[in-house]
Amino acid sequence: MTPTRVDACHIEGMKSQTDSPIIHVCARGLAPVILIIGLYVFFHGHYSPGGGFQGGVLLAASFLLLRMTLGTQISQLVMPSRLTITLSAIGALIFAGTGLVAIFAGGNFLDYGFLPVPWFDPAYLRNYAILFIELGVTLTVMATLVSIYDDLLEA
Amino acid sequence: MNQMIWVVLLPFLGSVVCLLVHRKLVFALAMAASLGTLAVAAGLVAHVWEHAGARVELGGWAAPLGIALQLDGLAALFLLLTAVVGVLVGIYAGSFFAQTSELRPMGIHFWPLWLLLWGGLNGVYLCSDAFNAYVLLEISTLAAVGLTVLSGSTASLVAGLRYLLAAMFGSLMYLLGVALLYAGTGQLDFVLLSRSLTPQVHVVTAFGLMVFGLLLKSALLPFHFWLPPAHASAPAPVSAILSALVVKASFFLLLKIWFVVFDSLSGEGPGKMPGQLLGFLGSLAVVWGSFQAVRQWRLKSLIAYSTVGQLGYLFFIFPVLSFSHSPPHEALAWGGTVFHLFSHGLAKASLFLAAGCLLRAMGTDDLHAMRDIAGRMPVITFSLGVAGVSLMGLPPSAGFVAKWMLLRAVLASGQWWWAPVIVLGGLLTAAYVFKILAYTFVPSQGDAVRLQPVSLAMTFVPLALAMLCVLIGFRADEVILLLPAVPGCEMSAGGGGGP
Repeated sequence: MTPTRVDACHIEGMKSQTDSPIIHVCARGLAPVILIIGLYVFFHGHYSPGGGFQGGVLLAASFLLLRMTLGTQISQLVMPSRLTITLSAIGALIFAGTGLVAIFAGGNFLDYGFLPVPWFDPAYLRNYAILFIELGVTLTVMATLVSIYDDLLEA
Repeated sequence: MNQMIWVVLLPFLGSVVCLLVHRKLVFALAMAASLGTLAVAAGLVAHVWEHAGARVELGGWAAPLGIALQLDGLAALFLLLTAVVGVLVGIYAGSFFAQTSELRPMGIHFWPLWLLLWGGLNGVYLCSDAFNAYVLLEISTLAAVGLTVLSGSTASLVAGLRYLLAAMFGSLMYLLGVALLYAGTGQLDFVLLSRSLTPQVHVVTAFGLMVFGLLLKSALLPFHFWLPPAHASAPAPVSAILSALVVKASFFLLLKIWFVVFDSLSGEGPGKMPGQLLGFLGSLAVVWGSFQAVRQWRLKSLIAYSTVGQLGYLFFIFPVLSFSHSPPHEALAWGGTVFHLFSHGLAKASLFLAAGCLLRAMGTDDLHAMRDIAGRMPVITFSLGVAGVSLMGLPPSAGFVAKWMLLRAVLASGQWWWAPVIVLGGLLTAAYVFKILAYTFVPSQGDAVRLQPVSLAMTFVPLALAMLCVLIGFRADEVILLLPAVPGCEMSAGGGGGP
């Protein structure tokens, strides 16, 4: 029995989804890599192919891989189920809030040029504001996908 | 005109914030969002009253690149109807979901979903872009399915899944039509599309697909199969919302597609045929839906089938306006249809909410069990009666104004064959309304059902809706004046200042 398997299976009697050490080791190796690729895709959304939705799906894929291999209970440490709905709401608020700030600053909804961040060059302001709302999209997509998976397991 | 953004954004924000705050604060927060939306919607109606329509380009990008919101009389009236029904149903739902410990967790999920649905509906009324209309319609459909299965009972899950599949199929047909149009013209904006369409094969196919998809979602007769189980098995406030508002949103989009985008196609030549077909299906719906309603023995199924029947009246506008381009009876037909939407929305919400009270008080909604209800729950019985009067179309209610205008429009257009259907539908409606009322007056034989107490808010909200439905019959002029000429003509003539 490898130490990996002991860690995964015997913490306070939590049972994992599968007993195969190969699957555990592979998943634990793969999940962080998917996570990094997800972040990479998210950070590239505003000027090259990629973006919040794709990045969010990749992040969710990494968490769901852990859910499926190590079991729901152990993977709570990485992404707690009770946080998912809150996170998705916060993501949507980031998106809508950016738009609202632009309205209050005298522009149209999501008119990034009006955001009250005076130390940025206008072109860069638009650039980073898009990145900022992509952050909201990423959070919402990731948290919603994980929450759908958790709900399906519960039922 | 940032108000137009607020009317969509407020419900969405409310919905998101409802997920974040403590469950004791959810009701207060949702009511604040509802009242805010009502205020903004009233402001928009006042704006249309004073300056006709308005158009907002989101983000400052003009139409072929960006997305526009377009406000006209029709949209303003729909916003107002949604807001009035929404606030009153919200007050009712606040005390409905606080009744028992089983209902309380449902309430936690009700508010975010309902506000999401509301935002989607407001978006559908305002957006002037075929693809975004699809997205917003999908938002409202998915939220509506979520609301349908709120109780989690087997019956509601079956009905909800059927609703989801039917509505999804309808949406995809609509999306296919949008894709064809976009491939053909490179435009998505309603006003720009209407200028660039010519009767070619792909345009006619797109027209057929979009109309078919929207008919499926607005439950016209052969496609009504998903509606009665979904509306009958949902909790009372949800049934009221679904029946009064959700089916109307896809009908609103159908009006826009038919009279704005495909105006040049549907008005002349081969365009007569689809109009007549919709009128025929509508008249079948009036007769068949009302007949099925008379046959039901459960109150909520009866009201749900009555929705199928009453929706049929809305489709007479298509044949009546399809024979000539701008006939003199145009204003009558529009007024009648919009009035019918209003009266049906208010009356049906009132009936479903009253049925919810009865279900709460008696523990069943079987008509046979409703003995001696009139004496013991007079306010509820009175609401049922007043809402019923409007559904039947007795003066002075809004239902009478609607049916009278429709009847006159039908006769003025020379298509007398729809007139008997309108009258027969009214008689069948009277039959099922009196069927409900008759059982409430039957005296109980010895062992009367013990009634559970019903809260004050739940008792008086149905009454308020029913009274509004009658009172609006006195204000017909204002509603007709809010529809300046015809929405279609107004928008294709200038689009409130296109790009």
